[in-house]
Amino acid sequence: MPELLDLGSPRDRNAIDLATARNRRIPNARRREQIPEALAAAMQFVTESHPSARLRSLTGTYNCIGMAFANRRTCIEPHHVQMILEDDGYVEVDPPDVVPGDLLVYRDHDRTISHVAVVISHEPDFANARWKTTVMSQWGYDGEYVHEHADVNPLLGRPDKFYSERKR
Amino acid sequence: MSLQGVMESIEGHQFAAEVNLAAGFEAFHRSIQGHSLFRELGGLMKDDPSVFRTVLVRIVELSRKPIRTQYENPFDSAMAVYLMAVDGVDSEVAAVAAQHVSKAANCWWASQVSTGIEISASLRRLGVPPALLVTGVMRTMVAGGEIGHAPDVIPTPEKRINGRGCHHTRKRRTAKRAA
Repeated sequence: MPELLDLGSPRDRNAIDLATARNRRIPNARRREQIPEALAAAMQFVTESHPSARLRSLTGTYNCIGMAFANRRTCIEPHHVQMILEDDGYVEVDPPDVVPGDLLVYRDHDRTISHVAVVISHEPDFANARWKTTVMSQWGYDGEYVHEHADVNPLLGRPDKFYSERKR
Repeated sequence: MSLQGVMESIEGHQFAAEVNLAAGFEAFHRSIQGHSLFRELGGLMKDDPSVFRTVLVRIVELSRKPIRTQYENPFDSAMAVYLMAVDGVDSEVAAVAAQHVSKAANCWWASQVSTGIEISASLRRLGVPPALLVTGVMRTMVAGGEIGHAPDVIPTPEKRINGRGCHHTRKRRTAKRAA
């Protein structure tokens, strides 16, 4: 029971040691893999509802935040993202300055951070006067996909701002 | 849809895939509350008391089902949803059902929902006003050290959880010492 009451805390047996650049602990917990039938159903659900999404890796042991900030080892609640961005020296980047490797943060209708994706390509789409951005992200616990940045399930929110930790 | 149809859908892989799109507990909670199957189940439970009993029995059955231990519990989402539905009708009964779910192996969402319900029940017993009762979300808030954003009345249960107290409590202690 103690590990249930302290999910992600140092006392949680499912947590790993993880800290920001300023040495603040990042609460986290590792989730067990889903049964193969459930993962197959998840992939089918995602790819049928979002044709632009191409599967990269079919696993449910980490979430999008764990993919972006913990090397796919664990799950981190979205409300910790702001602390990580601040401590790790991320700054907001305007669309013309975005490069592959930068992060795209999604927010839901009440402006809460709901999803994080890693940019893998970002180029001007002159014909449509916009940027064409392709990202890689873990969709909840339904697998990791390469997809157009705005083509996500509503539960993941809407693309908001780009961030980068690049030193210039 | 019949009760059987609703329950089969809730226990199916498609439903789990839909709700597992949530990156965190708050999004999961919101997605369940907005899901048509959850609303349909809630409606059936309110209309017919036997449905409430059927769901309770099912929670206990699922919590005792043998699972492949190397994987997550395949009934994780279903148990979470059933608990939330029962909690919507009778929180005291939900607290008892949550005790069963907390014993089920390898759960993720279900364990968070059951913990939230059990904490809420404990707070009720302590006399905390209903408006300040917490959900499973609080657990991650406590773990994340963000309890300070919660109302001032929360420190007592939080203190019980990790033995330290939130930053309001610490501030008060420091101010007392300084005085």
